[in-house]
Amino acid sequence: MGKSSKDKRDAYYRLAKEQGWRARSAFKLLQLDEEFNLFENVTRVVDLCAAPGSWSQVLSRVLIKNEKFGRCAWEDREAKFRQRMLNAIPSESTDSQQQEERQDFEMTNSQDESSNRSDVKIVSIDLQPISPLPGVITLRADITHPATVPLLLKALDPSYDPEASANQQAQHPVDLVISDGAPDVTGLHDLDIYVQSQLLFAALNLALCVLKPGGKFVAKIFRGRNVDLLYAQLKVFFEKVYVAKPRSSRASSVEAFIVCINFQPPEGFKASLEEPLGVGSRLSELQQQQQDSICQSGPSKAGDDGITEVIPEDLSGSDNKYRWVAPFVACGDLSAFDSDASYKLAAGHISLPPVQPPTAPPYKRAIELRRQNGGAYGKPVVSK
Amino acid sequence: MPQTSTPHPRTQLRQNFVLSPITALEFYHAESNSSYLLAGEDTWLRIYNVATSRLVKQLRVFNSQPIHGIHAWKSDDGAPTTEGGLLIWGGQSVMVLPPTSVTLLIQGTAPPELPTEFYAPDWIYDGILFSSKGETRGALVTAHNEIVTLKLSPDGNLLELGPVVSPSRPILYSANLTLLDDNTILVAGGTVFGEIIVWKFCFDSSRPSQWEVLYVFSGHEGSIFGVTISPEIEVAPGSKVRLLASCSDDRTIRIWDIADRQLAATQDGMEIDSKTLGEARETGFGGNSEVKEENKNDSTRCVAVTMGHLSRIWHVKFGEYTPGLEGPINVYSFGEDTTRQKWELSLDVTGSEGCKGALKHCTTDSCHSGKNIWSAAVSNKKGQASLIATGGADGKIVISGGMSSSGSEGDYEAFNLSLSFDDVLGQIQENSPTPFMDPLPKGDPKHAFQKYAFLSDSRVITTTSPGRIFVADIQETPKWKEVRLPDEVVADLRSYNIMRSVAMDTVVLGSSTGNVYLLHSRKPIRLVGNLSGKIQDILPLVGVDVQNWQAVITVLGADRAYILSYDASTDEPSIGGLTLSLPEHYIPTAAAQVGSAIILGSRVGVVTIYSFSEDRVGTIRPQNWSRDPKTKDAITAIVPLPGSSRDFLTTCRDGKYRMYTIWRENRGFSLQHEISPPMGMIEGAWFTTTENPELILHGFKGKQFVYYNATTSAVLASLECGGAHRSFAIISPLTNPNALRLIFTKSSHLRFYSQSSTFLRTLKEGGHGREIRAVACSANFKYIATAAEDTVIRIWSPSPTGPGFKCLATLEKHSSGIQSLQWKGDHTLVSCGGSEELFIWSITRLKSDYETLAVKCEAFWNFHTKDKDLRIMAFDFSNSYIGEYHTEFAIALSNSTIQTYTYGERTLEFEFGSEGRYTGACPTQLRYVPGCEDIIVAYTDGHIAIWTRPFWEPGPEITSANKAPLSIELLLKLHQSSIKSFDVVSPHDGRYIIATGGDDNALIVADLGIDDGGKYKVNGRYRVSSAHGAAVTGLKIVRDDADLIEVVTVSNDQRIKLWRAESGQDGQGIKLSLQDNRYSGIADVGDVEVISSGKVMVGGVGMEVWDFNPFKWP
Repeated sequence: MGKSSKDKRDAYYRLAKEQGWRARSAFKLLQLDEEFNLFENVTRVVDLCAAPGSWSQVLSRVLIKNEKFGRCAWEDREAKFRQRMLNAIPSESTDSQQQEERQDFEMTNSQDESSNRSDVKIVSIDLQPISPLPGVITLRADITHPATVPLLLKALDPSYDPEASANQQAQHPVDLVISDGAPDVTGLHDLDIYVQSQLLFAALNLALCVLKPGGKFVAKIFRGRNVDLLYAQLKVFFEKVYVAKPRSSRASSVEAFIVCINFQPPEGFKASLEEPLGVGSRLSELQQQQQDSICQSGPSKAGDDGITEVIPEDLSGSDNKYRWVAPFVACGDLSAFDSDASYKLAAGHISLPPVQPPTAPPYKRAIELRRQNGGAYGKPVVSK
Repeated sequence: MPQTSTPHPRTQLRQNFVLSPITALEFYHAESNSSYLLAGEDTWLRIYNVATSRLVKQLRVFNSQPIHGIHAWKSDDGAPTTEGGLLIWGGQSVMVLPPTSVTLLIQGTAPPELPTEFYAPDWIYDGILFSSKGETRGALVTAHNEIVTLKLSPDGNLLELGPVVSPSRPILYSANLTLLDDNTILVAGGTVFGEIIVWKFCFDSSRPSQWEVLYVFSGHEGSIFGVTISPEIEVAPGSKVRLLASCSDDRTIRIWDIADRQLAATQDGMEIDSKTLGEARETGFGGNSEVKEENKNDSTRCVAVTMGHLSRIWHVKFGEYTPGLEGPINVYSFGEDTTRQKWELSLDVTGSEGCKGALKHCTTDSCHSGKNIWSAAVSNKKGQASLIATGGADGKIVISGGMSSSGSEGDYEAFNLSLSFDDVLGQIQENSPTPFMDPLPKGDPKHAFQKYAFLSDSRVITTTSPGRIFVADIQETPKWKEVRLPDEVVADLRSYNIMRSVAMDTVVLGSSTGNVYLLHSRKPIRLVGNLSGKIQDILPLVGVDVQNWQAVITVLGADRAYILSYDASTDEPSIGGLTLSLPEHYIPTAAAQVGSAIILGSRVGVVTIYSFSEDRVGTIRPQNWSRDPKTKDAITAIVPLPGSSRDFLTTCRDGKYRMYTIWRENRGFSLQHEISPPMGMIEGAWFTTTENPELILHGFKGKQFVYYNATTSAVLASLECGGAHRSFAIISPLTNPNALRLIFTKSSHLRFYSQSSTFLRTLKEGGHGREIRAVACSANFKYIATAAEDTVIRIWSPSPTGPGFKCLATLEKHSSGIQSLQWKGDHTLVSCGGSEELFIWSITRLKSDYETLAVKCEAFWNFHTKDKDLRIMAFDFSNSYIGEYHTEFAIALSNSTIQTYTYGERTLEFEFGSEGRYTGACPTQLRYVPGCEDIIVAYTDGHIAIWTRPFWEPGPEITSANKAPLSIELLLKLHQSSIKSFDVVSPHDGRYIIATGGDDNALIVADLGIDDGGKYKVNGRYRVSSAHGAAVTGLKIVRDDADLIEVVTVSNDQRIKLWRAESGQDGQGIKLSLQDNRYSGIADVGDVEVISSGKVMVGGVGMEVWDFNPFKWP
């Protein structure tokens, strides 16, 4: 696919380049924030599996530089116009819509230079190196490693003394932990879902060590088999758990984001990477204790759209113990660019190079060797 | 929906059939000397008899977890293994089938009860059963490099899982276990970050430590997807090594030496040394890892490294070897690219640097469709070739090796010879010490082989540039002799000749002087006649009597072709009594008699028909001709379809084969079928004479000669020959297409290849090798079409013998992902997808003994944009005809527009009608409103729109397309995000029930009606918010009674659910109930479709059929 062809096929790919983001996934976080106000009253953030750093870039620009990104960052103005025309937006909401729009306009990408914030602490961790970002401390570490906790705590508080601290609980915990980590999928769906859940648990385990009560946790999730078990397990630690799909995430992708609000560790729970959750029976024991508190909370945005909510009678007799489906929330309003649609490029459109080239894949050497040996179908030879 | 008084019984779902990826394979050798292949297919254990390919028994092992591994109790030398049971695992689930159950299963009997499903604390990568001090034991290794021991009862039942032991807990992508001795297990784990950890585990808990790390290997530059520990390999008498093979994301295979003094003396080797990895290690890719000083030397233990496969390598396994290292050790690798590659590992243990070696690539066999070999098993029995099985994402199982040739009649020997001209001359001298002709001098560089032909299964003949003819009888290998020729014939054939086999033991030769000769195996050569001109080709007339054969002789520049006829009763050939008039510049390249017609094919792809009768003499003029406008390549063969006097097949160098039906009185013929098999140029074809004839093709693909069974889509042989445009001859017993002889010239050598049977055998047929995106059933449940990410469409019919399906045709024309598929009647199929492709396929069944569907792409939509980069997301045909032969249809494009066209069934052309543009959101589904011309479209923004047009009267211009503008009459928000699935029914006039499944996990039922003004009105919208745990990607209304509807939904959460909607209390609103909720084996599900009364098919990663019925299953 040619570059400009990709610009057409993927509006967010084009927007990311135009707005200087390292990856299109920046919009996912911006749209999640728009819906959940993730950054409200947030000064201390940890970004896990951060490379190439587009989420950290969002944190840097929003929290440090005090830039504001409203809907205009991803709004398809023509779509909005056409929605009006086709009456896709209910008329009763037009007033508030217009108000919002005015606000949006004011809010869009305005930067208050004077208020660069110094009380903000952002730490990004990845196995791969991350190019420096203003105000962001980057660490290269394995998030599943117990030694990463003291490393992280030290980065958050230079005064932190790992010797003195008996446990891995942070003394000055953070407000928000985010993770956009995903494995290279193999195609064996079962295995890919497992590996992704392990990445999620790795992020959760670390989050449990550093998050303050009331804090938030956002992570990528694959919505596949047994995802409802995972939702129920997250509900052990947070008051509210949502599964969110930003408009910038393709509908054809199994990817979604788990948004966990108001961290409430179970009584007596001590987080530790020595005894991580996600394997073994610790979590299911916690769940048994907590079973009562996981009640089916209603969907957040339903009811106001004229659709009658139905609780169907379940005659199937299937066992739903420990299963719970987190309410779904679509993020980024309807006038956002559609990541599945093809767009026409303006006349004279120049396709920009990506802000950061993709990281080299492990088979890079194989490709180079194959090229040397006569193209894609030449027999690869390797010398030791 | 009027209120119902009698309650309807609950409707339930029952799985009837599943075709899913083969995720586990294991051989089992029974005491009866029969070998079985155990396959994990979704939750099912299936047992196949290796010799007969028969499914012996199947057993559903886990409730809702696919099987990922099977371990059969084994002795080292592959001897029968009935003493132990089977260890089966998948995800965290684990089960042990005790020996008594296994014995019953291989006899085809279900065991009386299924053992308990246990759950390990983590994902399982490998497991073994073994006996220690008279006790049966077992162990598992998990994805975090942990060992979990299994406690079994004396009769082999799993009692409980033991504690977890691990030296360090990196996350793994692969692991392997081997028993070292009574007490110790050797563990190899390949990490996500490219390291390999080799450690020992001692399950004698009285020891101070239960584990010891032996090696940490770094060197791979990507995740380790496969590790295998070899058995102890005897490299010299008394000297043994143990190797580890690994394969990785970096496309390399590496062999490591893991034998050491400690391992050799395991009895007292359990002391803990400095290498223990007490604390977990820093890990990372390549240069990231901070390998500990003491582990640095480990990497020098890399014995060999090689690069292979076009993409990721999933497994590597050790094959057979000869003890004492007299030959190489065979290694097999299995990849994402669906190939199985064979490597030869040669070892040198004499050097000072320890064990070193090299891996040499031997063969690459493409085994499966689409992508990925997910499972492989290799069984090494002493003194036999390895038995190798592979299982693909396509659900197919391919097996090879270890099979003795049956030696039945018609079988060929196996050999592969390369002979120079002088080699053959030498053999001739050896075989005929007293030559009857002057011997040709050796060492003449101008000597070359020219044409080849088979006189019979066991006799081959070749002409040469000196004009001499050699013949070989094949007894194990060919024995060359010379054919006695008069001097003037030698002179005539020198430098130019043409030769073709026309019948058993008979060839016809032609020379540049126009002479035509007949040569019979046991008779002297005969001059048949002279045709005054260079003989261009001799084309056996396929389809005539084999005794009284005929051939078409063509002469350079002639305006006619000559029929050569042979009368067996008089042994007289005659030529020129009958000639075929040729159009100008027509060069015939193939000929056949079909019924009472002679069909010729030309060098530029023209097919010509002549009407013919036995008693005709003189010149016949062609009745008709036709050429595919897209081809200019030669027709290489014409073959009548078995049992038909009207249908014939042509093969062409453009890589396609086509089938035609002759019109009445031979006035012409029409194309019925056109297919591109996976070959570049097709050079010939024949049908087997078996009870169900099969179509066998041969040709070239790149530098390979490919021999292919088009009926089973199996490559029967693939041989490097240097490329197309070379002299060759091929023969195969018509009753056994797996045997083959092929003779050809390669770099001035004569190459002679013979195979007794195919190397690879399909034990079980599969389906798509990628995710199915659409399933469509033809109007009368006759055919089912499935389309997948691999851009292939398959057409199936229900298997006549049981559950399951027979694939009738494979359509490969789309160049990118297919979005939607729909039948019109039973004989027209429409498919659309990326790159603005929309194809209309005609599908018919020809009246012949060859059971196949005739398929051709009849028309394609051609209103492309400049870059052709939109996707056609969906389409539908309208309900009514315009005039007699025009229908309207609508398409939805990814740029937020819908368009209408008329399609002429006779003209095969589209005419644009009108267009409707939405907000920018991408449409996902499109359907005409039942009973009218309005169009319902679903979008990624969660809305559905009903598009309508004002009444339209065509103007004076001649058009059949409705040009009235499209506008939205009703816009309805249903979901928060994309509508992934959709169906609509009209229970009665003016009432529409729409059901949709969303990316937001919700199921929505919308009840629409028509108000007094004739406009749509919404009676109600009803939502089940968390209908599934994930996106609802497939939905079908399966029951549409007056008072209730039932909906089947499928989702990425791998549940299939059946919902019922009926009128609520006092007739107000709708009451919804969940009737059934089952685990589905289909991941990444794309579609669900009713395939017959009471049956739905689910398509995704594999396909599945569910029965639904309003009664309880027995």
